[in-house]
Amino acid sequence: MAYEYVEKNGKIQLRQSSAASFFAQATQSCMSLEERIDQIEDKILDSNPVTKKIHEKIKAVDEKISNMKYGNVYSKFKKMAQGMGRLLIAKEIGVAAVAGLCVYNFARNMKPMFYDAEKARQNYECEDISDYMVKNKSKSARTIAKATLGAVAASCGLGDAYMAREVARTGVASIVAWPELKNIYKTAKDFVTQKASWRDFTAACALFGTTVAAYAYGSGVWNTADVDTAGVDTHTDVSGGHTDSSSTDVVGKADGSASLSDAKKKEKKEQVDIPAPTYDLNPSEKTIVMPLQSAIKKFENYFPTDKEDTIDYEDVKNGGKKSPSLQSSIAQQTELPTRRHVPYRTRKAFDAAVKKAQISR
Amino acid sequence: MAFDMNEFSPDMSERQMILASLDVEEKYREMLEQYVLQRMEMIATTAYGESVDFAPNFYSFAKNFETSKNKTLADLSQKALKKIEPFLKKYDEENGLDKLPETEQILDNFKVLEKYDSFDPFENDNGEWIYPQFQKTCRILQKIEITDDNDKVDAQATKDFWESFVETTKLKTYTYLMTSAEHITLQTYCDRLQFEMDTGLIMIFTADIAAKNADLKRETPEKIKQDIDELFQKLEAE
Repeated sequence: MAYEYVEKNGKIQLRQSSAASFFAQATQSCMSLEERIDQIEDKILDSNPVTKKIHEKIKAVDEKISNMKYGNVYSKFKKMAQGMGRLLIAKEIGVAAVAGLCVYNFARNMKPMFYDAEKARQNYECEDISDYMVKNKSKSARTIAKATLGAVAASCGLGDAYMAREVARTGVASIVAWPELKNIYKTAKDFVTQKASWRDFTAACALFGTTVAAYAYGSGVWNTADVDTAGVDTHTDVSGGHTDSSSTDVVGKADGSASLSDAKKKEKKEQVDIPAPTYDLNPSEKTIVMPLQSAIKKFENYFPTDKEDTIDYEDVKNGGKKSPSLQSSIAQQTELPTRRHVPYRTRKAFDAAVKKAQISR
Repeated sequence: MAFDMNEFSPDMSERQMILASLDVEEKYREMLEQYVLQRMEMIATTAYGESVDFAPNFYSFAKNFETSKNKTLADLSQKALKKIEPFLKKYDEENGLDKLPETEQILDNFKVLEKYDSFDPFENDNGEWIYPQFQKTCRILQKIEITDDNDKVDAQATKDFWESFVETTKLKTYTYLMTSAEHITLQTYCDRLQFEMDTGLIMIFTADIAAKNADLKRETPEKIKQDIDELFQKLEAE
């Protein structure tokens, strides 16, 4: 029997990821259709109800699949495509907005830790967020690493999983040491103690996100297997901003193979030459990633992750003056709340009487 | 000092202020442009751009940069657009967009299709199949088990798979038939749904095999097709 899966008690075993990739691609192909209908809307006199219907339908199915057992895997595939969509939006609205995306990604990932820190502070377990972070170094490092990945993913239009692997390889430690991140610590602390505004905090995050993006693109380290600073053992002390080389709870291996100054030197050296970014995905990744990295201009319309993750279609570079393409984007954005909040009417039972009366078999 | 979590959600005007206040250096823009340039080159000059399914997305992408100030990018965009055109045409043909009916007809289609929202292709009446054409697909679905990362069968995921599969294929049927120029009957609907289900199963099997064989050889797709044909034959014979 040729087919290897029809074994094991006559069952066909499939991986969750195979199923999830199909669902993500199927949903995405429906969105391609919607995209195409938009492109040829002059052929449809009143296209709005048409596209609205499709939006409703896709959203309903997406919600259903997301809430199922392997919804997480499905969401990961979606996020890969989202990255590409953001890149497209970036071109339209300017890099500043990409930095904005970093802000919201970073802040969202950091939020749970701030919340825990505040609870700890109220229980007199710590003085403030910086104190909390010092006392919970391991957790802080993990949160920062996660937030960093989110920010970089938003900037570069890459999938989180790919990012995670590459950042882990090149070393979180060198990123943790950046002055921009220290500034985030400081601003975060001030924000929690009401010395700094939300704006100050997000601006710090944006600066950091943009820097990370520049680093990722500019240094080309993601293709350089021999740049391995994953073993750097360092930790940023949030209160003082200095590094504590004795700490071993930073994400990554702690073999002490390189010093922080070495990492900085390497980073500086790499930033001199700025090659075009290339991606050395292995064949299995190509199979999955490449089809999903198609240009999905309006992906976020369907799959807004949450409020903070949406962006403003304001052309900040033109001082608020909107280009024609932006105007259409803004128009779509204006419609979003209605699209998003249209309740999906679940029709539990097919009306047998209607079926008999109206459907001829 | 009270900690207000709502503070983490600035309003729109504040967001705009934040964005407007950011001073982003030109080199970052150049880097992004470089990335776009690379992507455009892939579409314009490699097999990556030869996709019928993604032609609408590639078209939108290339169209954005058609009049870019960056001459290289603009030239590449035009080249990409030219390359995408035949695929776009094929896409229209495959999805019934080359002969679009009047809007009223499309809206009528929606009304008909909404009746099938809770359509159950596997419905039976005391063991009698109401839609016998889905019997084969049902047999295959019954045999599928979804495994987790450790290759252990996950009962809930298997149950969810069944439901999601039906929903997704119904969505594809919906989007295909909505632009139908002819009146949609139950038979039209069933035929299309069956097509989507068969195609879907093949896609999932292929994805699964591809994931297990990272170094796919040229002859592998043929082998996969052969395996799947055999699988279907075996199931039909049961």
